[in-house]
Amino acid sequence: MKQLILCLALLYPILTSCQPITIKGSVINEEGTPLAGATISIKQSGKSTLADSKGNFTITNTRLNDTLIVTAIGYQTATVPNNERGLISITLRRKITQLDETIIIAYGTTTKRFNTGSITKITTAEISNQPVSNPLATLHGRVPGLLVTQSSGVTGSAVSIQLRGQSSLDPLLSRNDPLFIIDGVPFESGNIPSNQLSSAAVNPYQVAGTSPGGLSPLSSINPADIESIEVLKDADATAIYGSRGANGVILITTRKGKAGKAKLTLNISNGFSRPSSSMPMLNTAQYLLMRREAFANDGLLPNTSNAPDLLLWDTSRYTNLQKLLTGNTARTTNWQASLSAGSPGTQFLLGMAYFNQTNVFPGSQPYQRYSSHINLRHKPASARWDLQFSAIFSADDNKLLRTDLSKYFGLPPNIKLTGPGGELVWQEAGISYSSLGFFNPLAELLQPYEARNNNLSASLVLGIRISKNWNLRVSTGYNNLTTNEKSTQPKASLAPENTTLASSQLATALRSNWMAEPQLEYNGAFAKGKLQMLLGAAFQQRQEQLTSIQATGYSNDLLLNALSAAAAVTASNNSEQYNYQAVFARLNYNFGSKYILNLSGRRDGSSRFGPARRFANFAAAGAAWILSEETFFKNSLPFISFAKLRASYGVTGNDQLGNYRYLDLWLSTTNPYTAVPGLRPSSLFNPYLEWEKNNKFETALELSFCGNRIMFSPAFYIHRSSNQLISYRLPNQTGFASVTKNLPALVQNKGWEFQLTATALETKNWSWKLSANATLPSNKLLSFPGLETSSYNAIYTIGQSLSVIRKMKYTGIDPATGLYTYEDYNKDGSISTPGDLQVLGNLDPVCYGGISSGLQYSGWSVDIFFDYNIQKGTNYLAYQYLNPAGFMYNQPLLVMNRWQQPGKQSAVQRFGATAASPVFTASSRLLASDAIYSDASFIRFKNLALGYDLPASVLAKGKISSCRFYIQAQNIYTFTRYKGTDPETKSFYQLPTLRTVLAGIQLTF
Amino acid sequence: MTTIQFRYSILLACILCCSSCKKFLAIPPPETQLESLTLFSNSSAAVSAAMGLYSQMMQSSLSVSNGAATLYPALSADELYNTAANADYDAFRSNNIQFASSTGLTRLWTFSYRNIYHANAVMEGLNASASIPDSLKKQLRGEMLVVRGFHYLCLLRLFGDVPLITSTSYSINQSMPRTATTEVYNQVETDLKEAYNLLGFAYTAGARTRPDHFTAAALLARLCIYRQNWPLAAQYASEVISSNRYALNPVLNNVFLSASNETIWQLSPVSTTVNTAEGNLFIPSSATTRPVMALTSWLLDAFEPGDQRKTSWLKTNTVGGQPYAYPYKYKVRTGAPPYSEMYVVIRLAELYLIRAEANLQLNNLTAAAADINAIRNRAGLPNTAYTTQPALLTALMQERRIELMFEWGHRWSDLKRTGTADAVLQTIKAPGWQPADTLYPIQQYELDTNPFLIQNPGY
Repeated sequence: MKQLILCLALLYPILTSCQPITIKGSVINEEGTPLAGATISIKQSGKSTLADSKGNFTITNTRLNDTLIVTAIGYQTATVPNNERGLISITLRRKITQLDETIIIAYGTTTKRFNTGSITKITTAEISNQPVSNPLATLHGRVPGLLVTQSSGVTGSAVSIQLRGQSSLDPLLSRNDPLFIIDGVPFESGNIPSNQLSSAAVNPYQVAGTSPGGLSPLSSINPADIESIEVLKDADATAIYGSRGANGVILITTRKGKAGKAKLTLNISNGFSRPSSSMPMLNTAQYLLMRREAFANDGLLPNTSNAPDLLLWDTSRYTNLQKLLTGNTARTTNWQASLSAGSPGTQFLLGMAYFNQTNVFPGSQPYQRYSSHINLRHKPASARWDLQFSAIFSADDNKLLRTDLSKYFGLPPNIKLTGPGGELVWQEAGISYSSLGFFNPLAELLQPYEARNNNLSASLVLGIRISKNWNLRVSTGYNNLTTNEKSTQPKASLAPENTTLASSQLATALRSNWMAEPQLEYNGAFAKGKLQMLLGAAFQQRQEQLTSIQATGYSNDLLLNALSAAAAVTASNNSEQYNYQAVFARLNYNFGSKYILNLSGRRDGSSRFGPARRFANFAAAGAAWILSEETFFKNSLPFISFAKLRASYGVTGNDQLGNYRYLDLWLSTTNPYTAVPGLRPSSLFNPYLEWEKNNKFETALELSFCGNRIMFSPAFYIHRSSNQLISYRLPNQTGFASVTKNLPALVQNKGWEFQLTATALETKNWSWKLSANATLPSNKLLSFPGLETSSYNAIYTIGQSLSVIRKMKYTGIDPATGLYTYEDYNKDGSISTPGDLQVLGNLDPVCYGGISSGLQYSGWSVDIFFDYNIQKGTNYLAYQYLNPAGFMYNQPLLVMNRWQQPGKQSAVQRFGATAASPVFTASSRLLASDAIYSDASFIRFKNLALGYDLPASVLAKGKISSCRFYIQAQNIYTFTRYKGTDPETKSFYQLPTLRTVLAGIQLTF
Repeated sequence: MTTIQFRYSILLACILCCSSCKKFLAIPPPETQLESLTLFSNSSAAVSAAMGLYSQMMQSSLSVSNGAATLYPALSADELYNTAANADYDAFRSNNIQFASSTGLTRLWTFSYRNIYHANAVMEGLNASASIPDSLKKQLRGEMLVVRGFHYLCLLRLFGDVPLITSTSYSINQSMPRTATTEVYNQVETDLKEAYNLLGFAYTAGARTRPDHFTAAALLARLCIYRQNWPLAAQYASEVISSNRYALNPVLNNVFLSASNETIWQLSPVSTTVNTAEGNLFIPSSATTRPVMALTSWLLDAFEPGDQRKTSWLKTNTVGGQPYAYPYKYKVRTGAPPYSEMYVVIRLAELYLIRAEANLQLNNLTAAAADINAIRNRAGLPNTAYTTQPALLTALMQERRIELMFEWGHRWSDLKRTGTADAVLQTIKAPGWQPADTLYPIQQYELDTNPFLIQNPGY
């Protein structure tokens, strides 16, 4: 019997294959949505048909052995054998394009296709191509809406980040930083400089429009450990972070292990750096010419009191201070090793790295970072639970000087710095440098500064599958950043006449943060759509303990590191706590892969507010319509392979103010008085503080052409922040210069963001990808009740940007007198403020972004990246307000274009020698005028990465599975007309960003 | 565990997690700071709050209460000049202050109001306190009133009308316009009189480092000559002089020592390396170094022959063949505690000169001459030869000029209050001098942040 059945079974196809059959079927996608317009063709006969609006199709006269080929735009082609029953359901899988890559969002993941919010993802490739030590520096120009500015070229220095414009009124007093989250755990140190002591990373002269600098806590994270960085911008993406999403959220996800054979990767590189730009200064001959001309102009005779540099010092001496102080070549060494392996149930990744970079200052001040990274995922085959653990640990040691030596470029070029034996010189011809306000910059080399950071960030996520639809997830995390600083000033580094004794400062900061977030998730179907729900709670506690110790009066420079050797030690400490609690929910409904609605809400409580005002609610709604899934769209615009229209609106908040600002607190004075301890008011307090609220609206179109080869996305956003929490400036008559308070001013940031990516070439051997982005921001102060009588009346104007230039109008140099002149705006016959202030534009970037190209040919790859910024910036004249050209300070070579005789046109006023000269009054007004701003637009050849992979045929014999050689360069060339050093740092007396070239090899076993 | 139990236990865990939100957010105040209410419920903490003000007054070198009130007026008048170019000093010396941004103005204005806030905060804390004994409350309040009054006296003499701040409320204070000088004087008088009644007769801490009843009296006497209330000036000065607690120090070199019996109120240094900021600034590091500040020829020429103050309170360094005389009242450049010199705020010699001036104005010429002679004799000078009222007045101002030289800006204030600033300074400070220069400008930041403040004329 069995044989008979078998026989029939074998015969059956032969018997039936000759008979024509009619096939009925339907084509759907993975979500079960019918794919109207899919083409179904018979391979053998070439016969074809289209699926109708319900995805159904019928083909007659087919044969049993025929093969069906089903195609639809954006989907992988399916090959299906004919089925004898004649009724088949065909599921097409989406082509894995950029549209379907995973994007990390708050408490979950999505894809670009179904995302309703505004998120930009930076991939590991973009990060690893850049030879930088700080992960934030990799974001330059790559994210529309994100303005990244390096504060200085000193290793470990701060990087300022501003998402979609300035929302806070006083950027120097209030912070506008996004929330940083590493593997789900808030990195509480954020972007606030981690240093307590001053170092070379701090900007020595802060003029309006330049950054204060400091050390960046994020530089303790090794960029090579990062898998992706997602920048969350609009309300839909950030509202679930409620209180802290107002300035955007930056999610950093670390790399994970993959199932498969063990893979060991080694990556070794070496490189060097130099300052990317410099400003030529006067040499001694030019300097003497300037000084003598200044005295002649003032009708004064140089004497030993006002001109020791001309009369008492050697006028034939010349030191190129720029070359001497910042002319070193910095060296970079980078070693990385990682091991990844795993089974389907368990995967892990272990990484270790060492990074070393020296400075361009004389001597060796290395920045060293040891970092390790572990990631483990475990999911037993039949269990209900799974586990994910990740941790990064890094120890860095930043050896710097106490001062950025660029500060000293203004010393006279004939100053004597060392004696015949190389010893430091403090005076020449009886005129001590300290009496002139000078300091020997070479003595700075004896004043080391060191910052050691230990950073641990760990997270554990436990997932439990309760039922088919319900999942419970508990995320817990901890991070700890310990910063130890030490700064010493030996007697040998101090002027002999200085009363200050050898001293040292120690500072310790312990910052820790734990969080726990239980979440309940539902995934299921509801009314023909897919429903996702998330309910969660968050608990977080942050603690900060700061200690600083000042020790003075060391009798011996050799004992500077022993506190017990100091004659006097004073210490201070501070301890703060921040508790934070929230419940949140999200509902995501995807109907037919066409209409997506995303609602999120959060109730937040923060200990930073007084008991009555601790809680606030935040919510957002986002919606997306995938137009390209509509039949009419497919029919009428077949060349558009994907189109999505999305919009979102919501409210997010901000509690970035200091802790305890609602309390009237007193703290200990630095010193006791007659042995009795003293107390002083710590700051003004405000018991009425409440949450700042930011309303955000965004709408965007996402388009893909030619089978997703070209993707283009314009986005438009309006953010309005109200009830701002700011450090409100106060006149000093109140006892303090500011108070934290809510201000009913309304600030609007509005802008367009464009992103274009294109695959220009895609063949077996060639691949060429291009991308560009542009941001056109605009900032406006919409309202400010009581502005006229407020402390900001002289700074802001309603209807103008917050960076409005409200200054006196600079009207050039009077050809008759050779002095800077300013417009008498109120025609009162005198040049004075505030009467002569007028609105003269603003300092907002007009447009910024980046352009990149990635070309690959078999094993070769060439990636280039440009970033650009069209903006105005502070120029070199800003530093002339107190030391006008002609005084006993060196000046940029540009000053030689000065006024010399009546009728002469020039860019710099006539030289003057003393404060009694009218030159001084004219230049002291520079800072109150728009003369200090000029075009600071630039296009920077930011990054070049060349790589070559040895072909597999060469490697086949050895155990090496891949071998890659590469060269990377950063800040290669800047195209600019800027009158200063670096249009990015915009600070003349600060180390410009560095140009780095690096070569390396990456081996995988 | 069945599936149902499993699900319920998870739900229960979630509910537990979400409860007790408010408790979680109620964090204690920071460990290293004290809340005002707690502070002023404890007597020794309240004392610390007051001591903190003195400590703050002496914390920053060359702040208003630690050198600036001496240095800048001495430059603006005809006492001192800076020997090397320095934008900040130059501006004051040449009477050409750039109010856009000035270190000197910050030191004078900002630090005054910071200290006034502190004094107000202590007084408000004491008022609100129920548990501090009355005697301590009175004592501390009296001290704070003296400090506040002292700062307003400084401010009035430098800036003219100034905002009168008597509370800690920033919402009121931020838009406070200038208050008329008379009104501020009235407040200072009220404050000092209250302190006069509140404060005891004994120094709280041996070294006269906190004001007492006689400090209030001495400052009232100083105030009265500014207000030309001669009888009262004489009365207060007499009270201090005849208290027999103080005596002119017979040795000029010892007048500014911390143990000097001439001192009525002095501030204890807080630095571990420096005694007074003035000593530290004025005294050069070696005998061959040019001092930062030197006496003008006008002041040097004003000494009578034989005046021992010229040798005791001045010293000269010769650098590059040029002699530079520098202030040498304080003789300690650096020194660790115990401090041999403290910063003298007011001393008995001034009280003699105040009483002399009052008596002169009241036409008690003999009494006035006696007080002038007390000061002259101590300096090794004979009795004054003058007998008429105008001549004695001139002699008195001369004596003030020398005795109180580069001390708290007395010369600058005297030129102004006697209406002689223009006549004296116009010729010697030409061409920069203008009549409006007698008042310092208010810094741009203050004008910007308080639109109700009006700049002094001429700036």
